Amino acid sequence: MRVFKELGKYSSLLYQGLRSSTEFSTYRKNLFQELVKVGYDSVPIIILVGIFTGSVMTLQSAYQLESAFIPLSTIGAIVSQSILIELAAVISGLVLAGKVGARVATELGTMRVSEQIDALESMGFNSVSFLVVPRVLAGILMFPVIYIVASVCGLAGGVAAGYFSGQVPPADFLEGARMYFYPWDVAFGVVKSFVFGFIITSIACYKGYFATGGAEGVGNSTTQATVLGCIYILLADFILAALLL
Amino acid sequence: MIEIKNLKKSFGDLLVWEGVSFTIEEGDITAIIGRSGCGKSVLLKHINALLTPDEGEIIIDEKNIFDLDYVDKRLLRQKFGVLFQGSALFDSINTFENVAFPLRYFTNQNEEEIHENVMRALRYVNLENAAQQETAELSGGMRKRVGLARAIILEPKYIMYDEPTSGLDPQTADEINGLILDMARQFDVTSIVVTHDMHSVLEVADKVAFLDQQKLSWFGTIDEMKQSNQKDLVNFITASEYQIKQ
Amino acid sequence: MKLSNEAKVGITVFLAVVVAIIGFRFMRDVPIFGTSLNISSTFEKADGISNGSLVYIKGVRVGSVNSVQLTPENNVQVGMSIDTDVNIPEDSRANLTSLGIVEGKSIVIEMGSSSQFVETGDEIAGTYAQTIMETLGDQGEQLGSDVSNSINELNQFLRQLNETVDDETRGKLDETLSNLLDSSERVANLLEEKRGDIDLAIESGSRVISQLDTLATNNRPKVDSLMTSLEENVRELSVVREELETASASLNQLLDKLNNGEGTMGKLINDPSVYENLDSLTIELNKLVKGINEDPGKYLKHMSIIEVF
Repeated sequence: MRVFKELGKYSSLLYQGLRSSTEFSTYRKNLFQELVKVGYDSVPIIILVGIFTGSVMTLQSAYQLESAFIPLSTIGAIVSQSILIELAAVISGLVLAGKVGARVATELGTMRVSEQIDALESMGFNSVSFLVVPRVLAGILMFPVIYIVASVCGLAGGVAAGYFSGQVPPADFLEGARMYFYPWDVAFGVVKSFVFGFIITSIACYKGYFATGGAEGVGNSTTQATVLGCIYILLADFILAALLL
Repeated sequence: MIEIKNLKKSFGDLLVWEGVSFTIEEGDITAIIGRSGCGKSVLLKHINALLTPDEGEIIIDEKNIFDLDYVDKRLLRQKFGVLFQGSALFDSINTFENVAFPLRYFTNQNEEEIHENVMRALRYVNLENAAQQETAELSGGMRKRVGLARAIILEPKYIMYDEPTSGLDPQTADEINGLILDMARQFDVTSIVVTHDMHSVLEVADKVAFLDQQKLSWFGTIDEMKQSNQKDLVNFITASEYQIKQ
Repeated sequence: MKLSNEAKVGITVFLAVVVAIIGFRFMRDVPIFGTSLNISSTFEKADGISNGSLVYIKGVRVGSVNSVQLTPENNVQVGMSIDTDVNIPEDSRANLTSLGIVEGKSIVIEMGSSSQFVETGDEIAGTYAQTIMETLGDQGEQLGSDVSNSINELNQFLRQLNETVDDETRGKLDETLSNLLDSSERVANLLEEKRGDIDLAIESGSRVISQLDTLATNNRPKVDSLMTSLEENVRELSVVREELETASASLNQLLDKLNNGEGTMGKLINDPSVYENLDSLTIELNKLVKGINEDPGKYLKHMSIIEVF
């Protein structure tokens, strides 16, 4: 029962957001601020995550596929496809569920318990349009950018790891990567990143927006936003794979 | 004029109050008093339609505010200035911007006009030197005053104060009380003060609404209150006076 | 420099889009800047070929496949983008093949000799080459059933053998084996004893062979000429044979004609009336001779020579 109640509250928050998404003038300034916080500020961590994902994938694939019958290009194919289809979107999603999700939930939670949301509403603001819409929109708009950064860094990390460890020459790596490069994979990754961006920010907004009970309540809603964000990312990943692949 | 008619509110199984009815006259300072947790702030949030009651209605300008659609509710709220208990300043922007905030979104004033208006409001609350300070650096009393400046910046018809003097030293509290009185007299705004500070009530209020035992226990003018022998009200006042004396 | 939020967002998005486009073109193996030569080729099927499959000329990678689609004729048209600095003659062929057993499929362009080079949009001929693995795969079924047949037969044989070899036979077998062992031992002993003789025999044998060799070497010219004349004879023989063939052919022709009743001989053979005439003539002649025998005067009275008799 509680689940349905929560789902109903979540849906009505999203509906309010959707309905008020036309009030662009209300959230224009906030939108750019959020785009910077979600996108621009996340780039360094995503570069790091991407490079390490790619290089670890390469080293481990090289270790697992150590056989004379398997051409080295196979490693490139495995690494690049895994990164483009799965890892770039999911790992950056999980990392940002922590970074972005926690920040959004804390911000909104603090605003809720310190009556800032009430203050906004009592001034005649549409607090959903002012707070929730720009954050969710920023998630949706910036996650594909994050995906691109993670993919490129992942592949670069893969090539670099193969080269510096001497296990996979870059030419072989790229040959395999190109051989199994399907534009559909990239489209799939972009779709995923849209969905993940939406999930992380909307759940964090929901948890923060309805936070109760002072500082501890904010802490709880932040934790829940992070954990639920991760869970729903994995769930959505599964559903999308089942639906689209 | 704000007519509150037979209001009932409960959160889940917890009844806050029922059958609350009274009228707030134009230009009056109405104090809503009662013990902590009796639902004073909840009542305040009904008056500008932030919360919706289970039953009853509030009539402002001959319209039940709970029948308004969301856009009209927001237009109504712009007639209210609210000073929140914790001031509810936006921590992401500085003092000046906090006060300028409603102006930027609800008026077409240019930067010069905004600056002029904000500085006038800050001067009024005696904080013009703190304009560029971050809100986190402000003391409790300063925060209240910034909150007040923000509440009056759009020149509202009604101002609601939620525990304006709580957590303040007596001197600062007196300053705030002075401001409340001055606002009401100088700009002829209708004021609603939620408080449990009897000192403040005696200082500023014209009328008093006493919430107790999940209902409106007593309503009348400040003079009537002084002579009232209603047991709960007398107990409440006595306890407060005892505290003041201490 | 302090950037505004709008500028930060703009820079991030712009860079991401640029990187995405470059990365995409890089992965599709088309030149990052500028254009490439786009040609196509049609194959009966395109197993193992997909977007991004590589295109080689003489083992050098020159481009990649960028489209694979069915044609209305149920063939597969494969589009390729090739580096623009490679000139491909118009009569080149594209072979869809595999570079190794485990390697994926790729397209190998065999350069033609034409002086005209292909341009974007042109099509070159394509052939689908089966790989070893595919051939194996195709024949695998047949092979499999053969093998399983053989194994069945082998099984049967072994079973029969097992049945045959009961204890008695087994004893006999053992006996035989021990006899055999005995014999081989004796042979070994014999060999040991006669080693000297055998060595000698081998030695003389090799001597004979070497002598033969010398002989052959010394008499090489003679052998050569012998071979030449032999060859000549063979050639002449073949001429004779040819003549014989012509002769027999004419003979055949003649016989055919005879059979068909062409010419006098043919008529003679085939027309019964001639024969009949001849027959009756013979009879008449017989009669005449008889008559003359019986009464020569009757016929010869006017003949003075006869009167001499």
